Amino acid sequence: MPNLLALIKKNSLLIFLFLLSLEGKSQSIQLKSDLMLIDTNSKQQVHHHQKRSYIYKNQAKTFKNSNPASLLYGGSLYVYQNLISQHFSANCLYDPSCSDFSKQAVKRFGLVKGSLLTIDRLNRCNRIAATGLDPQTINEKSHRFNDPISKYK
Amino acid sequence: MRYTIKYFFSFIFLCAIFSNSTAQNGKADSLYAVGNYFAASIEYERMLFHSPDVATQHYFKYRKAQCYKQLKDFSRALEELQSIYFNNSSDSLYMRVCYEQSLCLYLNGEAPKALWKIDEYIHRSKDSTSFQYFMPIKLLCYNETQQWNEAKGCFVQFIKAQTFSQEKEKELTDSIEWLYTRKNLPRMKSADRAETWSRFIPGAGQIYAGHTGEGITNFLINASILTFAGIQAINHYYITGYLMGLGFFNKTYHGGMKRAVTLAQERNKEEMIRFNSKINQMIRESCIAE
Repeated sequence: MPNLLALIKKNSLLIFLFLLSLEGKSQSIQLKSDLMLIDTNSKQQVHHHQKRSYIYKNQAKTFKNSNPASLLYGGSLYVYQNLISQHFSANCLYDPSCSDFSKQAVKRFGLVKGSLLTIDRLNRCNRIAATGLDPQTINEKSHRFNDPISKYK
Repeated sequence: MRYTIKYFFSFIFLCAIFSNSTAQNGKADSLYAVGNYFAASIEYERMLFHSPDVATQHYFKYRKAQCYKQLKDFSRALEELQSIYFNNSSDSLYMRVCYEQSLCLYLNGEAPKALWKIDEYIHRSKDSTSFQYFMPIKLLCYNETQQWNEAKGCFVQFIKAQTFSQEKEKELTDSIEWLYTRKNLPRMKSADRAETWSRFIPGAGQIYAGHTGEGITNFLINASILTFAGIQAINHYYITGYLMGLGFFNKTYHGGMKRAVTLAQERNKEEMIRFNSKINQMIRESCIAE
Protein backbone atom coordinates (compact mmCIF):
# COMPACT_ATOMS: atom_id res chain seq x y z
CA MET A 1 0.00 0.00 0.00
CA PRO A 2 2.69 2.58 0.85
CA ASN A 3 4.39 1.63 -2.41
CA LEU A 4 1.22 2.33 -4.33
CA LEU A 5 0.81 5.72 -2.66
CA ALA A 6 4.39 6.59 -3.45
CA LEU A 7 3.78 5.57 -7.05
CA ILE A 8 0.68 7.75 -7.27
CA LYS A 9 2.59 10.68 -5.77
CA LYS A 10 5.40 10.16 -8.21
CA ASN A 11 3.08 10.06 -11.21
CA SER A 12 0.59 12.65 -10.03
CA LEU A 13 1.24 14.88 -13.03
CA LEU A 14 0.59 12.03 -15.44
CA ILE A 15 -2.62 11.08 -13.62
CA PHE A 16 -3.76 14.69 -13.66
CA LEU A 17 -3.17 14.94 -17.41
CA PHE A 18 -4.91 11.62 -17.92
CA LEU A 19 -8.00 12.79 -16.04
CA LEU A 20 -7.90 16.08 -17.92
CA SER A 21 -8.00 14.22 -21.22
CA LEU A 22 -11.03 12.23 -20.05
CA GLU A 23 -12.77 15.44 -19.03
CA GLY A 24 -12.28 16.85 -22.50
CA LYS A 25 -13.77 13.79 -24.16
CA SER A 26 -16.87 13.48 -22.02
CA GLN A 27 -19.79 15.84 -22.65
CA SER A 28 -22.20 15.71 -19.77
CA ILE A 29 -25.85 16.67 -20.00
CA GLN A 30 -26.37 20.38 -19.38
CA LEU A 31 -29.63 20.03 -17.45
CA LYS A 32 -29.71 23.58 -16.19
CA SER A 33 -29.19 25.20 -19.58
CA ASP A 34 -31.75 22.82 -21.11
CA LEU A 35 -34.29 23.86 -18.51
CA MET A 36 -33.50 27.49 -19.29
CA LEU A 37 -34.11 26.73 -22.97
CA ILE A 38 -37.47 25.13 -22.13
CA ASP A 39 -38.45 28.15 -20.05
CA THR A 40 -37.55 30.78 -22.65
CA ASN A 41 -39.07 28.75 -25.47
CA SER A 42 -42.39 28.24 -23.69
CA LYS A 43 -42.58 31.91 -22.65
CA GLN A 44 -42.18 32.89 -26.29
CA GLN A 45 -45.16 30.69 -27.16
CA VAL A 46 -47.53 32.67 -24.96
CA HIS A 47 -49.95 34.35 -27.32
CA HIS A 48 -50.08 38.02 -26.46
CA HIS A 49 -53.26 39.67 -27.68
CA GLN A 50 -51.54 42.53 -29.40
CA LYS A 51 -53.68 44.93 -31.32
CA ARG A 52 -52.95 45.29 -35.01
CA SER A 53 -51.67 48.76 -35.66
CA TYR A 54 -53.33 51.69 -37.40
CA ILE A 55 -52.14 52.03 -41.00
CA TYR A 56 -50.72 55.55 -40.62
CA LYS A 57 -49.26 55.05 -37.14
CA ASN A 58 -46.07 57.03 -36.40
CA GLN A 59 -46.22 58.84 -39.74
CA ALA A 60 -45.83 62.58 -40.19
CA LYS A 61 -49.17 64.24 -40.94
CA THR A 62 -49.53 64.92 -44.67
CA PHE A 63 -52.49 65.39 -47.00
CA LYS A 64 -52.02 61.82 -48.24
CA ASN A 65 -52.65 60.27 -44.82
CA SER A 66 -54.95 62.80 -43.19
CA ASN A 67 -57.61 63.49 -45.83
CA PRO A 68 -61.15 62.28 -44.96
CA ALA A 69 -61.02 59.30 -47.35
CA SER A 70 -57.72 58.04 -45.85
CA LEU A 71 -58.98 58.57 -42.30
CA LEU A 72 -62.20 56.70 -43.05
CA TYR A 73 -60.30 53.86 -44.74
CA GLY A 74 -57.67 53.63 -41.95
CA GLY A 75 -60.28 53.79 -39.18
CA SER A 76 -62.58 51.18 -40.65
CA LEU A 77 -59.65 48.85 -41.38
CA TYR A 78 -58.46 49.22 -37.78
CA VAL A 79 -61.94 48.44 -36.40
CA TYR A 80 -62.33 45.49 -38.78
CA GLN A 81 -58.93 43.97 -37.91
CA ASN A 82 -59.21 44.40 -34.16
CA LEU A 83 -62.91 44.00 -33.44
CA ILE A 84 -64.75 42.25 -36.25
CA SER A 85 -62.49 39.81 -38.13
CA GLN A 86 -62.11 37.37 -35.21
CA HIS A 87 -65.87 36.77 -35.16
CA PHE A 88 -66.02 35.37 -38.67
CA SER A 89 -65.85 31.64 -39.27
CA ALA A 90 -64.11 31.86 -42.65
CA ASN A 91 -60.35 32.19 -42.92
CA CYS A 92 -58.53 34.00 -45.68
CA LEU A 93 -56.99 31.85 -48.42
CA TYR A 94 -53.87 33.92 -48.76
CA ASP A 95 -50.80 35.00 -46.85
CA PRO A 96 -50.80 37.96 -46.08
CA SER A 97 -54.53 38.05 -45.35
CA CYS A 98 -56.78 40.33 -47.45
CA SER A 99 -56.89 43.07 -44.81
CA ASP A 100 -53.12 43.03 -44.34
CA PHE A 101 -52.66 42.96 -48.10
CA SER A 102 -54.93 46.00 -48.41
CA LYS A 103 -52.97 47.82 -45.73
CA GLN A 104 -49.67 47.10 -47.47
CA ALA A 105 -51.09 47.99 -50.90
CA VAL A 106 -52.42 51.37 -49.73
CA LYS A 107 -49.14 52.11 -47.95
CA ARG A 108 -47.17 51.30 -51.09
CA PHE A 109 -49.34 52.49 -53.97
CA GLY A 110 -51.66 55.02 -52.39
CA LEU A 111 -55.39 54.90 -51.70
CA VAL A 112 -56.68 54.66 -55.30
CA LYS A 113 -54.43 51.93 -56.67
CA GLY A 114 -54.35 50.21 -53.29
CA SER A 115 -58.17 50.06 -53.18
CA LEU A 116 -58.31 48.62 -56.70
CA LEU A 117 -55.79 45.94 -55.76
CA THR A 118 -57.83 45.20 -52.62
CA ILE A 119 -61.01 44.76 -54.67
CA ASP A 120 -59.11 42.44 -57.01
CA ARG A 121 -57.80 40.40 -54.06
CA LEU A 122 -61.24 40.19 -52.39
CA ASN A 123 -62.70 38.89 -55.63
CA ARG A 124 -60.07 36.15 -55.68
CA CYS A 125 -60.60 35.12 -52.04
CA ASN A 126 -63.32 32.50 -52.46
CA ARG A 127 -63.78 28.75 -52.97
CA ILE A 128 -64.09 28.97 -56.76
CA ALA A 129 -60.84 30.91 -57.09
CA ALA A 130 -59.12 28.42 -54.74
CA THR A 131 -59.51 25.64 -57.32
CA GLY A 132 -57.27 27.52 -59.74
CA LEU A 133 -54.44 28.31 -57.33
CA ASP A 134 -51.01 26.76 -57.63
CA PRO A 135 -50.34 24.33 -54.73
CA GLN A 136 -46.63 25.10 -55.10
CA THR A 137 -47.22 28.53 -53.61
CA ILE A 138 -48.56 27.23 -50.28
CA ASN A 139 -46.67 28.64 -47.32
CA GLU A 140 -45.57 25.74 -45.08
CA LYS A 141 -45.94 27.69 -41.86
CA SER A 142 -49.24 29.47 -42.41
CA HIS A 143 -50.72 26.78 -44.75
CA ARG A 144 -52.00 29.54 -47.02
CA PHE A 145 -51.23 30.58 -50.56
CA ASN A 146 -48.42 33.08 -50.84
CA ASP A 147 -49.58 36.29 -52.46
CA PRO A 148 -47.28 39.07 -51.26
CA ILE A 149 -47.57 42.69 -52.29
CA SER A 150 -44.12 42.45 -53.91
CA LYS A 151 -45.77 40.52 -56.77
CA TYR A 152 -47.62 43.69 -57.83
CA LYS A 153 -46.07 46.72 -59.49
CA MET B 1 8.82 0.89 -12.64
CA ARG B 2 6.47 -1.60 -14.22
CA TYR B 3 3.47 0.47 -13.10
CA THR B 4 5.09 3.68 -14.25
CA ILE B 5 5.56 2.27 -17.72
CA LYS B 6 1.95 1.05 -17.73
CA TYR B 7 0.68 4.51 -16.73
CA PHE B 8 2.92 6.13 -19.26
CA PHE B 9 1.65 3.98 -22.11
CA SER B 10 -1.98 4.32 -21.15
CA PHE B 11 -1.52 8.10 -20.99
CA ILE B 12 0.11 8.23 -24.42
CA PHE B 13 -2.63 6.01 -25.84
CA LEU B 14 -5.52 8.08 -24.47
CA CYS B 15 -3.82 11.38 -25.16
CA ALA B 16 -3.28 10.38 -28.78
CA ILE B 17 -6.97 9.54 -29.20
CA PHE B 18 -8.00 12.71 -27.46
CA SER B 19 -5.66 15.00 -29.40
CA ASN B 20 -6.74 13.39 -32.65
CA SER B 21 -10.46 13.83 -31.94
CA THR B 22 -9.89 17.37 -30.67
CA ALA B 23 -8.09 18.29 -33.86
CA GLN B 24 -11.02 16.93 -35.86
CA ASN B 25 -13.79 18.42 -33.76
CA GLY B 26 -11.88 21.55 -32.85
CA LYS B 27 -13.39 23.93 -35.38
CA ALA B 28 -16.97 22.70 -35.01
CA ASP B 29 -16.75 22.60 -31.22
CA SER B 30 -15.29 26.09 -31.03
CA LEU B 31 -18.04 27.41 -33.34
CA TYR B 32 -20.60 25.72 -31.08
CA ALA B 33 -18.93 27.16 -28.00
CA VAL B 34 -19.12 30.74 -29.30
CA GLY B 35 -22.78 30.29 -30.17
CA ASN B 36 -22.42 30.12 -33.96
CA TYR B 37 -24.69 27.07 -34.14
CA PHE B 38 -25.54 27.32 -37.82
CA ALA B 39 -21.89 27.27 -38.90
CA ALA B 40 -21.19 24.51 -36.35
CA SER B 41 -24.00 22.38 -37.82
CA ILE B 42 -22.45 22.72 -41.29
CA GLU B 43 -19.03 21.78 -39.93
CA TYR B 44 -20.49 18.72 -38.17
CA GLU B 45 -22.22 17.77 -41.41
CA ARG B 46 -18.87 17.93 -43.22
CA MET B 47 -17.27 15.77 -40.54
CA LEU B 48 -20.20 13.36 -40.71
CA PHE B 49 -19.59 12.99 -44.45
CA HIS B 50 -15.91 12.17 -43.88
CA SER B 51 -16.38 9.98 -40.80
CA PRO B 52 -15.19 6.41 -41.36
CA ASP B 53 -17.30 4.38 -38.91
CA VAL B 54 -20.86 4.24 -37.67
CA ALA B 55 -20.03 5.19 -34.07
CA THR B 56 -18.38 8.45 -35.18
CA GLN B 57 -21.28 9.16 -37.54
CA HIS B 58 -23.68 8.76 -34.61
CA TYR B 59 -21.64 11.17 -32.55
CA PHE B 60 -21.63 13.85 -35.27
CA LYS B 61 -25.35 13.41 -35.90
CA TYR B 62 -25.91 13.91 -32.19
CA ARG B 63 -23.82 17.10 -32.21
CA LYS B 64 -25.64 18.35 -35.31
CA ALA B 65 -28.95 17.79 -33.57
CA GLN B 66 -27.67 19.80 -30.62
CA CYS B 67 -26.92 22.68 -33.01
CA TYR B 68 -30.47 22.54 -34.40
CA LYS B 69 -31.84 22.45 -30.88
CA GLN B 70 -29.97 25.64 -30.03
CA LEU B 71 -31.30 27.16 -33.28
CA LYS B 72 -34.79 26.20 -32.02
CA ASP B 73 -35.41 24.03 -35.07
CA PHE B 74 -36.64 21.11 -32.96
CA SER B 75 -38.28 19.09 -35.72
CA ARG B 76 -35.02 19.08 -37.68
CA ALA B 77 -33.10 18.07 -34.55
CA LEU B 78 -35.55 15.21 -34.09
CA GLU B 79 -35.09 14.11 -37.70
CA GLU B 80 -31.35 13.96 -37.10
CA LEU B 81 -31.67 12.06 -33.81
CA GLN B 82 -34.22 9.58 -35.11
CA SER B 83 -31.77 8.37 -37.74
CA ILE B 84 -29.43 7.11 -34.99
CA TYR B 85 -29.97 3.43 -34.21
CA PHE B 86 -28.46 1.57 -31.28
CA ASN B 87 -28.20 -2.20 -31.10
CA ASN B 88 -26.68 -2.00 -27.67
CA SER B 89 -28.37 0.04 -24.95
CA SER B 90 -25.11 0.19 -22.96
CA ASP B 91 -23.58 2.45 -25.63
CA SER B 92 -22.34 5.61 -23.90
CA LEU B 93 -24.11 7.79 -26.49
CA TYR B 94 -27.46 6.03 -26.09
CA MET B 95 -28.43 7.90 -22.95
CA ARG B 96 -27.51 11.29 -24.40
CA VAL B 97 -29.38 10.65 -27.66
CA CYS B 98 -32.49 9.49 -25.77
CA TYR B 99 -32.26 12.53 -23.53
CA GLU B 100 -32.01 14.91 -26.50
CA GLN B 101 -34.86 13.12 -28.26
CA SER B 102 -37.19 13.45 -25.29
CA LEU B 103 -36.17 17.08 -24.78
CA CYS B 104 -36.72 17.99 -28.44
CA LEU B 105 -40.07 16.16 -28.47
CA TYR B 106 -41.17 18.16 -25.45
CA LEU B 107 -39.94 21.42 -26.98
CA ASN B 108 -41.71 20.54 -30.22
CA GLY B 109 -45.02 20.32 -28.33
CA GLU B 110 -45.18 16.51 -28.35
CA ALA B 111 -45.26 15.79 -24.61
CA PRO B 112 -46.95 12.32 -24.87
CA LYS B 113 -44.28 11.16 -27.33
CA ALA B 114 -41.55 12.52 -25.04
CA LEU B 115 -43.03 10.47 -22.16
CA TRP B 116 -43.05 7.41 -24.37
CA LYS B 117 -39.37 7.98 -25.28
CA ILE B 118 -38.34 8.35 -21.63
CA ASP B 119 -40.23 5.17 -20.69
CA GLU B 120 -38.51 3.35 -23.53
CA TYR B 121 -35.11 4.46 -22.23
CA ILE B 122 -35.95 3.44 -18.65
CA HIS B 123 -37.12 0.07 -19.92
CA ARG B 124 -34.06 -0.59 -22.09
CA SER B 125 -31.27 0.96 -20.06
CA LYS B 126 -29.49 -0.81 -17.24
CA ASP B 127 -27.92 2.37 -15.88
CA SER B 128 -30.45 3.48 -13.26
CA THR B 129 -28.22 6.34 -12.10
CA SER B 130 -28.91 8.14 -15.38
CA PHE B 131 -32.70 8.16 -14.88
CA GLN B 132 -32.53 11.31 -12.80
CA TYR B 133 -31.46 13.33 -15.86
CA PHE B 134 -34.79 12.48 -17.49
CA MET B 135 -36.95 13.27 -14.50
CA PRO B 136 -37.31 17.05 -14.97
CA ILE B 137 -38.51 16.54 -18.56
CA LYS B 138 -40.74 13.65 -17.51
CA LEU B 139 -42.23 15.82 -14.80
CA LEU B 140 -42.94 18.69 -17.20
CA CYS B 141 -44.48 16.22 -19.67
CA TYR B 142 -46.75 14.81 -16.96
CA ASN B 143 -47.86 18.35 -16.14
CA GLU B 144 -48.50 19.07 -19.79
CA THR B 145 -50.69 15.98 -20.08
CA GLN B 146 -52.41 16.86 -16.77
CA GLN B 147 -51.30 13.70 -14.96
CA TRP B 148 -50.86 15.54 -11.68
CA ASN B 149 -50.33 12.57 -9.33
CA GLU B 150 -47.69 11.05 -11.59
CA ALA B 151 -46.02 14.46 -11.88
CA LYS B 152 -45.93 14.86 -8.12
CA GLY B 153 -44.49 11.36 -7.68
CA CYS B 154 -41.84 12.04 -10.31
CA PHE B 155 -40.85 15.31 -8.64
CA VAL B 156 -40.50 13.64 -5.22
CA GLN B 157 -38.44 10.86 -6.82
CA PHE B 158 -36.18 13.47 -8.44
CA ILE B 159 -35.65 15.22 -5.10
CA LYS B 160 -34.79 11.91 -3.42
CA ALA B 161 -32.27 11.12 -6.16
CA GLN B 162 -30.32 14.28 -5.25
CA THR B 163 -27.90 14.44 -2.34
CA PHE B 164 -29.76 16.82 -0.05
CA SER B 165 -29.73 17.01 3.72
CA GLN B 166 -32.84 15.61 5.42
CA GLU B 167 -34.13 19.11 6.31
CA LYS B 168 -33.72 20.37 2.77
CA GLU B 169 -35.39 17.26 1.35
CA LYS B 170 -38.31 17.68 3.75
CA GLU B 171 -38.63 21.36 2.86
CA LEU B 172 -38.67 20.62 -0.87
CA THR B 173 -41.13 17.72 -0.50
CA ASP B 174 -43.49 19.99 1.47
CA SER B 175 -43.32 22.68 -1.19
CA ILE B 176 -44.10 20.05 -3.86
CA GLU B 177 -47.14 18.93 -1.84
CA TRP B 178 -48.26 22.56 -1.59
CA LEU B 179 -47.64 23.18 -5.30
CA TYR B 180 -49.79 20.22 -6.31
CA THR B 181 -52.74 21.06 -4.09
CA ARG B 182 -55.99 21.60 -5.98
CA LYS B 183 -56.03 25.37 -5.51
CA ASN B 184 -52.53 25.80 -6.99
CA LEU B 185 -53.04 23.63 -10.05
CA PRO B 186 -53.76 25.45 -13.32
CA ARG B 187 -57.45 26.03 -13.83
CA MET B 188 -58.12 24.58 -17.24
CA LYS B 189 -61.10 25.56 -19.34
CA SER B 190 -62.84 22.94 -21.40
CA ALA B 191 -62.78 23.80 -25.11
CA ASP B 192 -65.88 21.65 -25.66
CA ARG B 193 -67.77 23.48 -22.94
CA ALA B 194 -66.77 26.85 -24.44
CA GLU B 195 -68.11 25.70 -27.81
CA THR B 196 -71.38 24.49 -26.26
CA TRP B 197 -71.87 27.78 -24.42
CA SER B 198 -71.39 29.69 -27.67
CA ARG B 199 -73.75 27.35 -29.49
CA PHE B 200 -76.66 28.24 -27.20
CA ILE B 201 -75.80 31.84 -26.27
CA PRO B 202 -73.51 33.55 -28.80
CA GLY B 203 -70.58 35.15 -26.94
CA ALA B 204 -71.03 33.09 -23.75
CA GLY B 205 -68.15 30.77 -24.72
CA GLN B 206 -65.78 33.74 -24.97
CA ILE B 207 -66.91 34.96 -21.55
CA TYR B 208 -66.35 31.44 -20.17
CA ALA B 209 -62.82 31.51 -21.63
CA GLY B 210 -62.13 34.78 -19.80
CA HIS B 211 -62.66 37.33 -22.60
CA THR B 212 -65.74 39.22 -21.47
CA GLY B 213 -65.36 42.15 -23.88
CA GLU B 214 -65.01 39.89 -26.88
CA GLY B 215 -68.02 37.84 -25.74
CA ILE B 216 -70.23 40.91 -25.43
CA THR B 217 -69.08 42.16 -28.86
CA ASN B 218 -69.90 38.78 -30.40
CA PHE B 219 -73.33 38.76 -28.79
CA LEU B 220 -74.07 42.29 -30.04
CA ILE B 221 -72.91 41.50 -33.59
CA ASN B 222 -75.05 38.36 -33.72
CA ALA B 223 -78.06 40.10 -32.17
CA SER B 224 -77.86 43.08 -34.55
CA ILE B 225 -77.55 40.83 -37.62
CA LEU B 226 -80.56 38.75 -36.50
CA THR B 227 -82.53 41.95 -35.79
CA PHE B 228 -81.67 43.20 -39.30
CA ALA B 229 -82.86 39.89 -40.79
CA GLY B 230 -86.09 40.08 -38.74
CA ILE B 231 -86.83 43.68 -39.76
CA GLN B 232 -86.27 42.82 -43.43
CA ALA B 233 -88.63 39.85 -43.14
CA ILE B 234 -91.30 41.97 -41.39
CA ASN B 235 -91.04 44.51 -44.22
CA HIS B 236 -91.47 41.67 -46.76
CA TYR B 237 -87.90 41.89 -48.05
CA TYR B 238 -87.47 38.14 -47.66
CA ILE B 239 -84.54 37.66 -50.02
CA THR B 240 -82.51 40.53 -48.50
CA GLY B 241 -83.34 39.24 -45.02
CA TYR B 242 -82.31 35.71 -45.90
CA LEU B 243 -79.15 36.48 -47.87
CA MET B 244 -77.80 39.47 -45.96
CA GLY B 245 -79.19 38.68 -42.52
CA LEU B 246 -79.00 34.90 -42.20
CA GLY B 247 -75.95 34.68 -44.50
CA PHE B 248 -73.92 36.95 -42.22
CA PHE B 249 -75.43 35.39 -39.09
CA ASN B 250 -74.19 31.99 -40.24
CA LYS B 251 -70.64 33.41 -40.51
CA THR B 252 -70.62 35.19 -37.15
CA TYR B 253 -72.46 32.44 -35.24
CA HIS B 254 -70.08 29.67 -36.32
CA GLY B 255 -67.15 32.08 -36.10
CA GLY B 256 -68.07 32.80 -32.49
CA MET B 257 -68.07 29.09 -31.62
CA LYS B 258 -64.71 28.60 -33.31
CA ARG B 259 -63.28 31.65 -31.56
CA ALA B 260 -64.49 30.43 -28.15
CA VAL B 261 -62.61 27.13 -28.66
CA THR B 262 -59.45 28.99 -29.73
CA LEU B 263 -59.63 31.31 -26.72
CA ALA B 264 -60.12 28.41 -24.29
CA GLN B 265 -57.17 26.54 -25.80
CA GLU B 266 -54.95 29.63 -25.69
CA ARG B 267 -55.88 30.26 -22.08
CA ASN B 268 -55.10 26.64 -21.13
CA LYS B 269 -51.75 26.90 -22.85
CA GLU B 270 -50.89 30.09 -20.99
CA GLU B 271 -51.92 28.59 -17.64
CA MET B 272 -49.83 25.50 -18.29
CA ILE B 273 -46.79 27.53 -19.34
CA ARG B 274 -47.10 29.63 -16.15
CA PHE B 275 -47.33 26.50 -13.96
CA ASN B 276 -44.49 24.68 -15.70
CA SER B 277 -42.35 27.81 -15.58
CA LYS B 278 -42.79 27.90 -11.78
CA ILE B 279 -41.71 24.26 -11.49
CA ASN B 280 -38.84 24.78 -13.92
CA GLN B 281 -37.56 27.69 -11.85
CA MET B 282 -37.86 25.65 -8.65
CA ILE B 283 -35.80 22.82 -10.15
CA ARG B 284 -33.15 25.20 -11.43
CA GLU B 285 -32.84 27.21 -8.24
CA SER B 286 -33.05 24.56 -5.56
CA CYS B 287 -32.41 21.18 -7.09
CA ILE B 288 -29.51 21.55 -9.51
CA ALA B 289 -26.09 22.56 -8.23
CA GLU B 290 -24.07 25.09 -10.19
